[in-house]
Amino acid sequence: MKSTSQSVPTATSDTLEAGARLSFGRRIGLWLENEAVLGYVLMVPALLLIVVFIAYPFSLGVWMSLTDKLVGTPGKFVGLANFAKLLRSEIFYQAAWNTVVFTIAATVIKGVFGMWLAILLNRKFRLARFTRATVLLPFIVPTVLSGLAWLWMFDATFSVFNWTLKWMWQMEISVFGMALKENWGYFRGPLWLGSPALAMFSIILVNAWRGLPFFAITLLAGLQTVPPELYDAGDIDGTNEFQKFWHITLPLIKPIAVVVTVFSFVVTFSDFQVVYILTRGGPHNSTHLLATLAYQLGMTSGNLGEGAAAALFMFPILGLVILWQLFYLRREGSD
Amino acid sequence: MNMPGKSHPSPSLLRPIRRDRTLAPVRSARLAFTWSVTARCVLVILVFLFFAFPIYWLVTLSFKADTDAWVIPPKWTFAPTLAHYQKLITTWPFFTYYLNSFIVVCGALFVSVLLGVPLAYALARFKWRQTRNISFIILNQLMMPPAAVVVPFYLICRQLGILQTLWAPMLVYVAFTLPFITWIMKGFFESVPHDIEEAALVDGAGNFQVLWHIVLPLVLGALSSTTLLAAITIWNEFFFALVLTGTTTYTAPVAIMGLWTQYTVYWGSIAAGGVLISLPIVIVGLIVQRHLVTGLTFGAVK
Repeated sequence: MKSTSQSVPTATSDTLEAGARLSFGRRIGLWLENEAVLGYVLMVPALLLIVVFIAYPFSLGVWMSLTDKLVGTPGKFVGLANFAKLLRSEIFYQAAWNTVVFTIAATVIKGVFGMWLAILLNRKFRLARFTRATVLLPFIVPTVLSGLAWLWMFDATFSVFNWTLKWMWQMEISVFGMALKENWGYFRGPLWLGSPALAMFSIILVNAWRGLPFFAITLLAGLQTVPPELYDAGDIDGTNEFQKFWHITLPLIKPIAVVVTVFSFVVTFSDFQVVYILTRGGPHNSTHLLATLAYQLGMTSGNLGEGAAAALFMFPILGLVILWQLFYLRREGSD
Repeated sequence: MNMPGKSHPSPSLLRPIRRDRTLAPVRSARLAFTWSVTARCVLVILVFLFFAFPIYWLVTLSFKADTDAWVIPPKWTFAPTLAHYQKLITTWPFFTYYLNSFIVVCGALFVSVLLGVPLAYALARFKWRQTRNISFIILNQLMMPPAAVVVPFYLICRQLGILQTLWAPMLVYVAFTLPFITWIMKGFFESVPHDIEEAALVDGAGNFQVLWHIVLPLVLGALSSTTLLAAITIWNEFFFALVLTGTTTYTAPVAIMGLWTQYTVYWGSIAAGGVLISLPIVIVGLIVQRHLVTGLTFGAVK
């Protein structure tokens, strides 16, 4: 704030004699020439809005988690009772565990296939642009719509997957080396959303489908900054494709890959839509995530205090991400 | 903040002569035309199918007569019909919902850009201790899980008396879009060479004039990418809109879920509505694909 004490006097003394003749607009203009003033004038409106619209709701959420508020009642302070109640309930542990499985599995799938896809798209081939546009599609299309599309494809009776499987069964085509007819004496397709393990698989699949474009496109942009000379040098040294990837590509795009992965981790962690549309947490709560549990407790059952408490259980993990950021950003540079 | 991308060896230094990168793959493809090309073709087709098929399947559903949709096994060919679209538009105030979405997107974007761009510039231009702290807070705001603030927002909107009006979702989207736009635009502002600004200052331009006449025109393209990205996110948003809007103020995605009633699921209409919702955003998104990618990657790549 050194600049305030320095530049304010200069600005005023320059304009002292002319002050009377200066128009109002001109005075504002001169005032804005002061760095400190300009900085705060630019920042304050947005900061006010952010405090009012994010910090206040968040604090309100923390407060509510400490009360027994229901919809329409004022609610009174109950201390940590909501948290204790959650910690005693089975569904909470199930949701927490599901969140961990869902987030890690989906992020790993997105990371691995996103990388692979980025490398594939980085090659020049006919229809490359077209393929890139297709890859972007799941990102652009509303999640509600794509969620419903998957729901229709997973539908117990009309599932296009199951009918394709059945067709393959009839044709005696083998999948992954297993002949369907030998493994299924009669044909019954899997209930994609009806059995706990498969339902979990399905929501992870849909989340990965939706999140892959972000990985692929971002990593592709990273790949395009890798100087081709390095690969030529690798050729001279006789490296194979994997060695090139491991020793040239990966170290160079690691900074980008890390940022994308962390970002995707956070978004996946708080995902709500995929589960809400596909399973609503079922069957038997086997796909409930912390976010959907919080929604169900808070909005559907009207138990606002408990819902807020369930949502707050998401923060320890986000806190780890924040700590990581502090560490990572500090190490990254002085900027 | 310093973007990790900076720690690269500078590509422009390592690559004084930019060679045509198309040459190498084509040549190798000609040499080994057999296996690798076939494998790659199959891969590309698989990738294409994986990403496009769900969308394709829903689009065909919207053109299928119910007699074609509800059959076992599913039909691959059918006589297309516009019946679902007709039904959707005539029996249902679908365009009201469409308009709601449009109003909410415009309103939220207007406020977010108007306030977020100055904030981003200040954070990029003035490296004080305070601005660094603010940057860090904003980065963390981007991670706020919607589920953690949905109930408080619901109560706040009820208290303000704007529940079930379009103001409610607009307010929430500003709260989430503003940090987003600020964060990405801060990166773009930082990439404007400081020399340009200093040259202008030496020439006697004021701080504010530098921002308005020099820096802003330079980042205008980036701003449009960022805004587009934010527009897509808001247009597609479902969670808050579901909680905060009412029958007449549903945004389009929520309205679509309204066709999912306790008794029947109007699949044909859902599909038709979904296609109508996605159409503008997909067309715009694919036309300005390049810009979309710029916006998408700028947080990580410089």
